[in-house]
Amino acid sequence: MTKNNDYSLIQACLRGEAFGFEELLNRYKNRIFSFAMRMVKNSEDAEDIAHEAFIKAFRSLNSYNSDYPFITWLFKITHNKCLDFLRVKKPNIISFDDDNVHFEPEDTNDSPEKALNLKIEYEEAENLLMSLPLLYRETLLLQYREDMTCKQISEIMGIPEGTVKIRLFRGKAMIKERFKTPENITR
Amino acid sequence: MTQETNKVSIEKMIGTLPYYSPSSNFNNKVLSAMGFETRAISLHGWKTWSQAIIEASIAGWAIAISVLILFLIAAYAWDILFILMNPSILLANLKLYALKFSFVIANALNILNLAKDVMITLLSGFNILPKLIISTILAGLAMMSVSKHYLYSHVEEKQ
Repeated sequence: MTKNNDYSLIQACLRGEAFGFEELLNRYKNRIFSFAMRMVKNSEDAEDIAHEAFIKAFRSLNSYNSDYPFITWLFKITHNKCLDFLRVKKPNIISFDDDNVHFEPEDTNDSPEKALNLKIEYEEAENLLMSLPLLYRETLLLQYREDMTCKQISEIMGIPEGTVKIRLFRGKAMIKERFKTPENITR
Repeated sequence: MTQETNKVSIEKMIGTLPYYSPSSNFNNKVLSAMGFETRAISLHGWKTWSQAIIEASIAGWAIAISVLILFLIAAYAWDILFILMNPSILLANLKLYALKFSFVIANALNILNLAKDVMITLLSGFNILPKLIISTILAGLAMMSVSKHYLYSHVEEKQ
């Protein structure tokens, strides 16, 4: 239903109707802004990135392939904008190579899939997520907050599906480990 | 805003993180960059409400005071006309008129205080917005009743 609605709105945009643009903005701006904010950790920069992402998407609607969900395409543009921003503004933070992140779970028999049997507040959950390296944080956000499939995440991030699954596993293990030892958490 | 969760999975923990909103001008900025004309930003939710209530309260007070003034003028119209035609009498009776006026104001203030006490007693659990509305209405009613009292007392004296 949403895909069909997006398609009709995109057609309206291509006809130059402001209603189409505004409706797409209202539908997706919070998701894109929140994603950008959790990527760059700054609301002002996140708003600039979201603004540029939407403008690029709207100006490139002629090249949009309607076989794929609009939101996936929009997140891909936002992902690229975030990385471009971080490369320029914070080059020391960026590490695009998984090999640079060395992490071994303390208990390899304890699966990260198991529930955290402790109380947790949303603020603490946000801090835990934000303490992760960018690669794992983004993958977890796209899968569990944005309900993307591994295939969609691989298209957004430009990586193989196998790498997506590895990052999901490592990211969850890291969260579980940091939850046990809060002093390891640095935002 | 925080909320506790028991036995939460990592998936659910991330899945229930809140969505944040960009600035209220976000849509306008994007549409403007696309070449569309933008409209004025409307205040959201509670800001619109509070602004409307404050404006209504000010208007209510202004109306109440205007009504009071009109009633007083109507109540003492002949006296006012007589004084305007014979200004020398005003000076001779200045103290008397000042005294009368002070009684009017004192009674009006007494009724307002009574209204305020009633409002405080009845609305002790309410927040500021209903208090503001109801106090405005009570103040207006108090002023009108004072004006009405002196209007009719003047009519009775003439009879």
